Amino acid sequence: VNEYPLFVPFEDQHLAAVVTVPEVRIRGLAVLLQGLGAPRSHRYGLWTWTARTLADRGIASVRLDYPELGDSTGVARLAMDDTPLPHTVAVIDTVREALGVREFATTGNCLGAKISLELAAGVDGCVSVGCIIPGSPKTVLVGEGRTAPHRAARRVSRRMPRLGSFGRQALRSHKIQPRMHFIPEVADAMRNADLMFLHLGSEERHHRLERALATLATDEQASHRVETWFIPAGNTSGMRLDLDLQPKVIGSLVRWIDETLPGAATTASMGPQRATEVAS
Amino acid sequence: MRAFEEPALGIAERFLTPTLGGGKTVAILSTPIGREPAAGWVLCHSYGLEQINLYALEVPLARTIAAAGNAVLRFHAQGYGDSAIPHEEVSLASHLSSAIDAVDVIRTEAGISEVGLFGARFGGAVAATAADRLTQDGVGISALALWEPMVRGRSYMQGLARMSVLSELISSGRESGTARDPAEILRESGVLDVQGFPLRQETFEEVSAVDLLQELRVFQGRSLVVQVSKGERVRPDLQRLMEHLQGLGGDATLEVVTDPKADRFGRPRYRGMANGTKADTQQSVADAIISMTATWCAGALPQGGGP
Repeated sequence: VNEYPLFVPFEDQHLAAVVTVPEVRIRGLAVLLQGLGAPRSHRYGLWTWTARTLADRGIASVRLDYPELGDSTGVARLAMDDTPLPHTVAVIDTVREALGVREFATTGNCLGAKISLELAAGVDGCVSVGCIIPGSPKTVLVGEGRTAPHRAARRVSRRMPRLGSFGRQALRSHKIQPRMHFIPEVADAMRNADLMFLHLGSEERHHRLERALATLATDEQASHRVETWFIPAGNTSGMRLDLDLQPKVIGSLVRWIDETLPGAATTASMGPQRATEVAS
Repeated sequence: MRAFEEPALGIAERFLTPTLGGGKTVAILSTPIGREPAAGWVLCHSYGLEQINLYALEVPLARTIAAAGNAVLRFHAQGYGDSAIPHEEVSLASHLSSAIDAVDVIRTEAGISEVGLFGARFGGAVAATAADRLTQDGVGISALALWEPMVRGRSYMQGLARMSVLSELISSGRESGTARDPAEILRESGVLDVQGFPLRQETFEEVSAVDLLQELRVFQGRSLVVQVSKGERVRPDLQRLMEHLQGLGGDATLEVVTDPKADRFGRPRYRGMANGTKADTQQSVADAIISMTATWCAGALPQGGGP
């Protein structure tokens, strides 16, 4: 494995990135995108070790610092509705040209998941997306999945904390489970690329996510793989991964990217598929 | 593409891939544009997730000090970021070994002889200990700037252990739901999960045994000790550290940065807001530290001429 740190110029800024390249012939490129506030290696070096495992399978990868964060320069608002997509595309194009590869897979969590979906929806050569969903899938839901009753409970909570707290408890205890409405980028992505949600959380929430994604795939007549994979993790929230979860997440992502890039070492499922996989 | 120059920042930066602490890693050398650096500074990062949380302070600080005419080296110690060795191997010894090797790298890469060390929290203790050991070995270290340095390792480790309890409570929906005594976990499994970072029993004991005052025996350079707190009252451990540094024959200064959010120092810098944007929770603390350190650095080591 060879690793090359570089600064990719973008307008008047410079984006810090590390490209990991296998010793053998390169099958494709993986783009690893973390959430807001994490550096290019991600917390716990998650991307560093994902990159090195991918390299063992002939897959190159790039991880980068978003503008203003890590070792990158520049200033950026960085928000879920204003992602650094152009910056990310600049890095991907630079690396694709340098390595002579066209097809890439992308994976990420939080802001990185949103950028991944945008890449699949709008950038030529993106063959697959893997979105890490730790706990709540709010990142990929319209309005972060909040319904009118939830919003009302929050409003009450701000004015009358004790009453609001009762309201939120009631909403939870009565299991008012609104239908999940995905952000448009999810449908856009599944039209162009294989899509996988790697859900870390409770089984109950996972089944809801799985059903909702399957419904969307049917509505959209998706011709690519659309899957939800599951790692039991209780009520995990955010990318705070316990030690025992980290190798499971790396293993699942590597397997997904390996299966969906051309020249897969393992046999990939072909055509539409809505499978649940327990990645344990 | 390994390097860039940004005239607006007044600096150039270059990626290096040195061998530090027994393995390859990534480092970045910041230098002023259009002049040779007069002196060099090495940034020693903190432990566990604090390495990430404090990075947003360390990068602008490195660039500010570089723009003033110095070379500044920041690096990933083994077990962190882009380094070769996994995080299970992290220890005080691995931090020290990487820091000591980094001093050699900045001397060679920047062609300077005067070197100082920076560090926050655990990184402050690493910087101070490395400076003392290098001085004992005849390698002159001229200055130290320490922000909220860890003085007693036991208190620092107890803080991490409390954090691991908090993590376990947050994960209470999982099978191992009930929070257990961290000391018991360490005894049984040999590893404590501190917000996803492995704290090994050996490291716990190694760091718990640290008393920074005992570690510092010969260092006589200039020192800045910065306390970050809500109030002006000077903490006794930092007062003792400053007096100890003076007692060794050095010129030591203790400064206090007061801020209502001082207790967040070392914790995650950015917080996601309901509208999907990020909020910087420590901008004012970071600005104050950078400004104070830059002013102090100007007098601590020889300065280069203008461009």
